[in-house]
Amino acid sequence: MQKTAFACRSFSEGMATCRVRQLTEKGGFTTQTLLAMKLTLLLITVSFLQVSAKSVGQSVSLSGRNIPLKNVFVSIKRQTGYMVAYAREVLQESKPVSVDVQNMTLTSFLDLVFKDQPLKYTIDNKTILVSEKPLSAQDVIFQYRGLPADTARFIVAGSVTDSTGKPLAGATVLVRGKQQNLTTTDNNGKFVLRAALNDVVVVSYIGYEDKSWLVKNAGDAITFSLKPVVTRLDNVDVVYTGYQALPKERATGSFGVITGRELAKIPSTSLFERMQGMVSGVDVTTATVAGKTRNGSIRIRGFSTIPSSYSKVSSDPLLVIDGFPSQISISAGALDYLNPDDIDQVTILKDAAAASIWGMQAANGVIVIVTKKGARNSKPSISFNATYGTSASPRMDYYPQNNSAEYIDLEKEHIDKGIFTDPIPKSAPGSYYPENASQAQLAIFSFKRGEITAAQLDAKIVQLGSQDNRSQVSKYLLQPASTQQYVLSFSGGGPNSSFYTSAYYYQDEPVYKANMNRGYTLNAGNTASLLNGKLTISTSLNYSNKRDKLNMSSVTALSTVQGGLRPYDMLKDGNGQTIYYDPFLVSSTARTLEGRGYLPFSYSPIDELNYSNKIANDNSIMLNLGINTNITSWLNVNISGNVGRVFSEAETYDEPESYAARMIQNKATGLYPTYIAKGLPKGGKLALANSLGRSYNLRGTIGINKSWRDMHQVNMIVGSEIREVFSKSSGETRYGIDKSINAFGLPFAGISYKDIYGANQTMQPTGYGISQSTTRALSYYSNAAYTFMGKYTISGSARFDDFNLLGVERRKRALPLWSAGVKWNIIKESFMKSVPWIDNLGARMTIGFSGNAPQGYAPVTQINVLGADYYSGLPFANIGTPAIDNLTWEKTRVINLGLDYSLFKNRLYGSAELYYKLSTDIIWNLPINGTYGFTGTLFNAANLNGKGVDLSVSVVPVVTKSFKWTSTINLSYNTNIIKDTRFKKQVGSLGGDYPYDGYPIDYMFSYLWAGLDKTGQGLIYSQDRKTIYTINDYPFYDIRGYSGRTTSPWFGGFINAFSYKGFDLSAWFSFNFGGVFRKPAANGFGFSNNGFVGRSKEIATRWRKPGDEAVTNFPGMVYGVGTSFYSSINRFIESDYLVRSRSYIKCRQVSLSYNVPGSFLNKIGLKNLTVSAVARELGLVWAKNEEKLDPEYLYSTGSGFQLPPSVKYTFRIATNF
Amino acid sequence: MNTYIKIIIACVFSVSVCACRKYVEDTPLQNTRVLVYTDDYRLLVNDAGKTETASGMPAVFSCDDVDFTAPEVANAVKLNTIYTQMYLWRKPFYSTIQDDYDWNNVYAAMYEVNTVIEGVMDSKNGTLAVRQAILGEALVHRAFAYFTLVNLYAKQYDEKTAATDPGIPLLLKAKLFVDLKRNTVKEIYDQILADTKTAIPFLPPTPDNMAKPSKSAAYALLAKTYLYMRSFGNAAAYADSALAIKSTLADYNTYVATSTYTFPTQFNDKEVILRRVPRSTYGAAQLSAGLLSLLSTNDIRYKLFVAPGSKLSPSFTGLGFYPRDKYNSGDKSAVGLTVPDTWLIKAECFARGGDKDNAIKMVNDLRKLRFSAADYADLTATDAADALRIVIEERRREFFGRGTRWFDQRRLNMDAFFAKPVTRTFDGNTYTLQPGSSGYTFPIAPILIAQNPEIEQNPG
Repeated sequence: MQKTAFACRSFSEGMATCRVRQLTEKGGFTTQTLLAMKLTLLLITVSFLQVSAKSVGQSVSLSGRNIPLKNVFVSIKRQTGYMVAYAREVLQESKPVSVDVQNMTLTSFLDLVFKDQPLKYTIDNKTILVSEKPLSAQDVIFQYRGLPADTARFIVAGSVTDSTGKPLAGATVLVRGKQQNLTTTDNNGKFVLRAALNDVVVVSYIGYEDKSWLVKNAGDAITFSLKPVVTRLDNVDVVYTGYQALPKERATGSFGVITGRELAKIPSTSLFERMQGMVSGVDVTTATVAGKTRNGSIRIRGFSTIPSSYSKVSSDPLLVIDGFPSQISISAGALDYLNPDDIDQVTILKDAAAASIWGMQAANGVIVIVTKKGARNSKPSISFNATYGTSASPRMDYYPQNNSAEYIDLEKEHIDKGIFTDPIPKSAPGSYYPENASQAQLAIFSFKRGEITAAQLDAKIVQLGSQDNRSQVSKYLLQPASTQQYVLSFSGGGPNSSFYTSAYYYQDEPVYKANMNRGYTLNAGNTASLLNGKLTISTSLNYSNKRDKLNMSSVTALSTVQGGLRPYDMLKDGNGQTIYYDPFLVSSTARTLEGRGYLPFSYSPIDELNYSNKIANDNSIMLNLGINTNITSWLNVNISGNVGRVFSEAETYDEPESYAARMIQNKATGLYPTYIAKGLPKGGKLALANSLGRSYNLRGTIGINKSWRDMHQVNMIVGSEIREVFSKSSGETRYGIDKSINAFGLPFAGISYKDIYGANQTMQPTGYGISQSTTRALSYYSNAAYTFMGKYTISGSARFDDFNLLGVERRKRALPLWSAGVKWNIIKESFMKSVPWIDNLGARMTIGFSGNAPQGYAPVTQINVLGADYYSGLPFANIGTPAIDNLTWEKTRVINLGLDYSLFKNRLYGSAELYYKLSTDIIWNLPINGTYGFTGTLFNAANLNGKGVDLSVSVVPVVTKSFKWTSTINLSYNTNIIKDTRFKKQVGSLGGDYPYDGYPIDYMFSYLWAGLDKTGQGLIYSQDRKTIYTINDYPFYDIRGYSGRTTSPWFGGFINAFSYKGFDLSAWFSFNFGGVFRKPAANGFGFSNNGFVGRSKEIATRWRKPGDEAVTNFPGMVYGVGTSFYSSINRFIESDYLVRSRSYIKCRQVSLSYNVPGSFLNKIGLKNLTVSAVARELGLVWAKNEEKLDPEYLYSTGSGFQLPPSVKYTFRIATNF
Repeated sequence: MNTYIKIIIACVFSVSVCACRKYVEDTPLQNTRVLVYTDDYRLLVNDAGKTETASGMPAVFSCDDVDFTAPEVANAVKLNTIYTQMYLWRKPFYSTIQDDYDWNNVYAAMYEVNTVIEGVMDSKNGTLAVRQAILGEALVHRAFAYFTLVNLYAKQYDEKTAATDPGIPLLLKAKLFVDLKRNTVKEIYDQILADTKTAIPFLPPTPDNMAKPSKSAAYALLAKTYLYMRSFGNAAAYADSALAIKSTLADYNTYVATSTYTFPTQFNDKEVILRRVPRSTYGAAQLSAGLLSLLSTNDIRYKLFVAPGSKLSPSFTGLGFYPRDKYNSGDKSAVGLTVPDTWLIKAECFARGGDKDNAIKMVNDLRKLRFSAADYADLTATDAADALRIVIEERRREFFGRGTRWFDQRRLNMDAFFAKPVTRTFDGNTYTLQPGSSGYTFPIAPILIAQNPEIEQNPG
């Protein structure tokens, strides 16, 4: 693929130019060509980081490891003024040098440097001439076995050892370009091979650098002594844009990188968790939602658009996997399909220069994932790892809640104030069926009707007040979450091909019982090279399946929808028998109706754990094919394509015994004086939803990578691509299902029946329409960079995107996008040599322009085809969107300034970036004259000004041979402001997702709380705090004050990593500063319409009698003439009194891993063994709000109830053999 | 090797060739359903939820069927500035930020029918007859919509001034952002007549669904339109045409045959010619003394549609309108085209033409179905003018409570006999609506004028 644009030339050279030499082609994890390139870059990087030189006449000081010879020459020139002259090819055969010399004379130094090189030098008038050393007999010694000379064949024999002289068994030995001439070493490391004169014999062994020799002469047996592969540094050498790999040194844009090695250090099953906090400016949230475990979201540098329900502009970053956009978006769960251990590198494209190659899809940033590939000439290797995670028991006491007695007290007050009325008189069959009265409420009403005495009531209240169901809920409905993950991979490669195959399986059991997520991913990749490496074909096939089982019973029991439990509602009685409730109607009516033939109305969350599961089965198949050809050493052509399929099936089955199915049946049963009539076929309900997606991409790219005498480097791609994404979904609901006996009732649309309320109902059609969409894109793109002297880089990128989204006229449909950037490698300037404490310094600046298209709007009228009209029964359609011909793309301009530095021998390094984003033409729905038939339509309306800072600082306070402590802070600041006079702050109500001029999009406005009046109702101040309004005042002007942003502008992570011998310990803290949230306090208080009252402990402090206003701010339940409870409580809930700072620091995770030493492993036949453990969600370290609430998990009532995360422990064992 | 490279280059070239404009232009738009087939237009013209909307609450509040003398109703109305403005014939109804959905909804339907009218004849896969039938339906829908709007927001058609009186914006194409200058009343009426007459040949005599226009509906609409234009000869002729197709009157005795009264939906009501419903109604429309004095308590219409205020919301002391939706059918009041309406138009034309006997005969024929045989007695008229009074009074009895009366009040101001001031006492003050006063034209919502200042506001 594009990677080969940077291929080391060694591979593209014909055999004729090969000479006996030592190549340091590193064996490793991905294709050889790529590695060779990476290696070069790595070495260059290493040299920058490690070379420190002083300038003293003709003496040289240099220390460092693996410095490329070229860089040594640069140092010589800098320190002595001597020019070094050489033919470029000559250096290709050179070895990097490791030296540590102080003030050595030039000639001694040169002798030292050239000692092991296949080169010699001569000094001529301040010029050092470098040329090839004549071959000596020792260089190549092969044993001639006396074959006839005319065959021109040798039998080459030898042995292979590691650097300590230990024989290496199973090393690959081959003749380059002659695949058939391949052998492996025996147990003693010996080999015998046929070869011809001038053949190159290559020896490779996984984990060691390759060696190659030119067959020149017969001689003694040769021993290849292989050096272990230099461990790859965590400093990243290459960034991927998805179209090409760029040397980081020459990349002008803003890239954030997470290497596979870094990801592997965090043995969490979720990729979101692994990526969290790694890159500044990238906000990864992993807050879970009830009933779903594997989720998270990623936001890169704040907002580029104003998200809204109707503007239909994506705010999700683009996900690119192995060069192609993912079929599934991140928010739709794309990362769940990925095996985290398959990932070689994640590159996050943050600014326009980085992302503009992706055109209009890139406005929200791009996440490029490159997966692992096999390495050529490597022994097959198997790696296996297993991860097991478990969590602490769920915390039921996270938010202060009222206890049962306080809850009953509040219920009483609701009854006293007439909010709850006696359900019994209304429960005559055929009339309104009251729902969901609690035990306490029913007892109080019984007393009021005279059915029980005051003493009985008191006894009941005392009994209920003493009950607390939290331990039973924990025991029967919740469980410590657990997770398991297994990965098996198999990789290796022959001389002209390599493969990587992996299998991945996970299984999560969330905190809510009866829920389960599991899935597997199979991945097979293969790379083959033909024509001496001129042509490379790579294929990969990926299949993923995930199966999520969702059972809402526990979530429902914890919520305040029908089926929710009051704090005193126990699940089992003293004898361990399940307790049943009748949430749908009062028990006496329920029993009566059951006597008439209705199905049981009884409900227990424990029973429901067995029923009403939603099973979602999602599959993804992806096939990638790439053909790369090197036409010359600097020109390559690449054709690649990708075909993908996703198909999902979701099935929600309410078994006939389930509460849901029984209620559906009962509600559809009409009650007649002498009989009942069921409106639905007997049985359960099955809801099916299916979706299918398919996509393809086809891309052709020409790449140029050329340098002239190390002065000019040009790197360019030009290409075009087409892409189509098709999706289709459909669904249906069926009644009368009993899977256990394969019974399928037929739903007859149009049949009329009478329901339990006595109303006439008509069976609705049970199938839904099939919705389909096709997106096509045609793009031309180019990216070019020119580097002069390794110091100055300019880059430019342009892309022309034509989508079928925006309708017919090309001018409005297609948009050219571009970016430009410069980079100055200051460290390479001559004046920098006087500043020895700076190891690296570079500055860069980019400007770019990207777009984002509205979806579903077009200059043609679109209709929605709907079912039957309620009254007329006619099938009909309406106009979904009128013909809009005034829309164009949203446009985002980004300016990015960056500085990369490394100081004090790499003891302090990092980067600082400053960016400005200006999004214009943001699509927004603005009102239009209703006479046109619509009261609003989309316009390119708002402007959004954003800016931010991304800082990354790493310090290495201690580094010794065996111990290293690295401390990293990633700090980001991001803010935005709407600039548009059309969005003046409204005088009436504020809210929804409406933007306001001069405010950020995540604003919060609050009433200015002025306490309570003597009737217990809220008072609010005017903006100037001079006037106080009572609840009877409705000040219809700008009464609310600005409280702040609901997201924290400052956020980041603080990571401390310690390594000691094989041990790695890291602790990661995340922090958020600034921003506000509102403490939940009065939710569900005072105007319940579902029989539940509020659970917040704070409600107990409410106003109850005159005088309380002096000590409390919590409004009372006050109703009647001259009051407005709704306004009072609503103003309280939206008051600044409840506003708290979002600033907090959390200990996100602590991890420990241990690499078992190789000497031990070899005895048991393993190459590598790592054991690691991690603890996550260790809780708040500091929070500014006085209640110490976690702003990420705020208590809420209603169906959105969410348990806070418990501490999660994960253990992992990873091995390689 | 060269062969391979040639193949590669050929592939690159072919990708580039593939990548031509047609690739993106020849695909359907993303996730959209556009109008292509005749069936699509059929579905769109079936959007009864849009086209069913006729006049609503403002007409009910303004007409002399109601009089909110009960303090409970008066207080409830007082708390709502919009209701108060409507009830007291004051302008504007709405604040600067509120929408007038009586206007917006009719124009929303207009956009859809205009879309149909513009495109259906060029649609695919439909026979000419099918396409014409859809066109015909859309034209009648449009004509009815303009008839409703022009009689709410513009002055009553007056032959002398219609060519200059501002009507309403006449939009004949589905297009956003066109000029919204008001066309004249005459232009609107001309369009109504033209649309309806164009539609007639395309339509079936009677519809298979009362939401669909038919020949009978077109004729009934023409009768009504000419009546409002005071072209009584034409009105009579088109009423005849309508009644020739459909003249079924329902015997109300069947609705009160059992102790629980019933009333059919408009779809099952054999009197309905084209279904229309009020956009909004008021739950406690207290009936005026004037109306109640016209209704005898043994009139079945009284039994069905008059109820004590305690059965209404807000509950009050007095008598209020008990609409059709209170019956199990769940359908709303018929404010579209009906046989009784056309019937009484014909009767009115007889009376205005001096044919007293035929006028009274038609009224009596209707009344026979509105009383039990025991309670029924013939009405008699002394002369044609008296017959006209009887016809108009019968219109009040037949259509009270649903705002239809407001339309009659407006047009009858042109008759000296009927042009009488209406007086209301509210919150201690007395308000009078004089014949010909600007109170007879509803204000155009200020937000519409703010958005498009070319729309001229009504005086007053």
